[in-house]
Amino acid sequence: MADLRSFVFLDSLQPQLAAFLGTIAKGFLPVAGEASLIVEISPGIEINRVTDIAVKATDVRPGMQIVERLYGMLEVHSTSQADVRQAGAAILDALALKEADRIKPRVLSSQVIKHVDDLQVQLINRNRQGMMLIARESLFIMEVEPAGYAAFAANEAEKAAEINVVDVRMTGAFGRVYLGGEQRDIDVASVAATKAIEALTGRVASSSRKD
Amino acid sequence: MAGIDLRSYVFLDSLQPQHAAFLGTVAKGFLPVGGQASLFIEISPGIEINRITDIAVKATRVTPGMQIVERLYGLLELHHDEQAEVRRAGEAILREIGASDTSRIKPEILSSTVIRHLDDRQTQLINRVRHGHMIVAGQSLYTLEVQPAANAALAANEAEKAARIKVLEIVAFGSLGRVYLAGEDRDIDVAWPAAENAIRGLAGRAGK
Repeated sequence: MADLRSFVFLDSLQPQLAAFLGTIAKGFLPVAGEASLIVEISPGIEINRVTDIAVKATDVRPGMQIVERLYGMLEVHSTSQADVRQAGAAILDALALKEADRIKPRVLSSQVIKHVDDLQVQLINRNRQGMMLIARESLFIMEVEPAGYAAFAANEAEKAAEINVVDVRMTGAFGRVYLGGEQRDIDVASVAATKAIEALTGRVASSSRKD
Repeated sequence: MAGIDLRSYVFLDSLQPQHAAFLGTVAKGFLPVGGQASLFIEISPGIEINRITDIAVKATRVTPGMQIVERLYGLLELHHDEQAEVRRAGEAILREIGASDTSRIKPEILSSTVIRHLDDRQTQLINRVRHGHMIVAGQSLYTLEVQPAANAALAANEAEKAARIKVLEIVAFGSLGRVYLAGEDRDIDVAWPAAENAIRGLAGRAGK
């Protein structure tokens, strides 16, 4: 039976997160304002069945279906929140799971680097897929487990403040969020991201990496 | 060194922060930082760019960011904290190939277009191919096509000095140079004349 890791509903994809997904997604591209659902399970390969359920039961479009080292991740979206919620319900039903069976996210690291140096921004810019980080901006970075919740943290931060979404890693062992911007905006965004993660319920799981 | 055709000779007095970040993303060589001076040289035949780089790095302490041999032409980008050092590198290169800076081809703008209030769906296509900032729905998009290609670097750098735009993409090598900038209408409307004027201000010979 599949182990539910992340189950996160985004009510409205913010413009930059939608743009970011549009950059990295190999599937159907979302647009801003759509609702989105991210489901992460183990064993990873079972995600194929999860996608099958979602696309047959509702009108949602899959943006990403990723089988990585350990886990499997699916992102679906639709202009209709109801469709996305229905897709989530159908997935849980088929897997005989409840939303509360997801893992309660745990923040492993959350920090702000102020006034990032010229030299450091160049390293970050080579690896990011979203906005560029500009020298002397501040950088907020968060590491969260399971990975799927990184998308939720980024989306809530973008609602709260005028930040630049530099990178969001939402698959793998850990989720990672990189946000850039003026210090005043980063201060607001970091609080919003942290609160969003802390507010999510779920079962408490100690770090369960198997490698 | 006869037979080397100087296509572009573009000196940037001060790499603007986004342009520096952009080069930091795409450059395979030594990464520049904001505020450094930079020189873009484009020649034909392309493979001869190896010789151009040799001259620059042996004559001065400049660091090369990009050396690209593409289908037809060769591009070298080099930079340094000191403007003087970059200018010296340029002079050494020009002397070696028997050219002056005005031996370059006078840039020609082939297209300069503003698309206002970009649609959600179009932003997604652009975001998949750019290397710089992302464009978000509702922003305006400025696109420029210029030849020779390296002049795109000057257009983007001057636009960034003039207005609070976001640099999405700069293609400064190949047959045609391209610049993609995004932003609010008010900023785009300041940025595009700055980009055009910078290019029009360059002297050079008529292109073939």
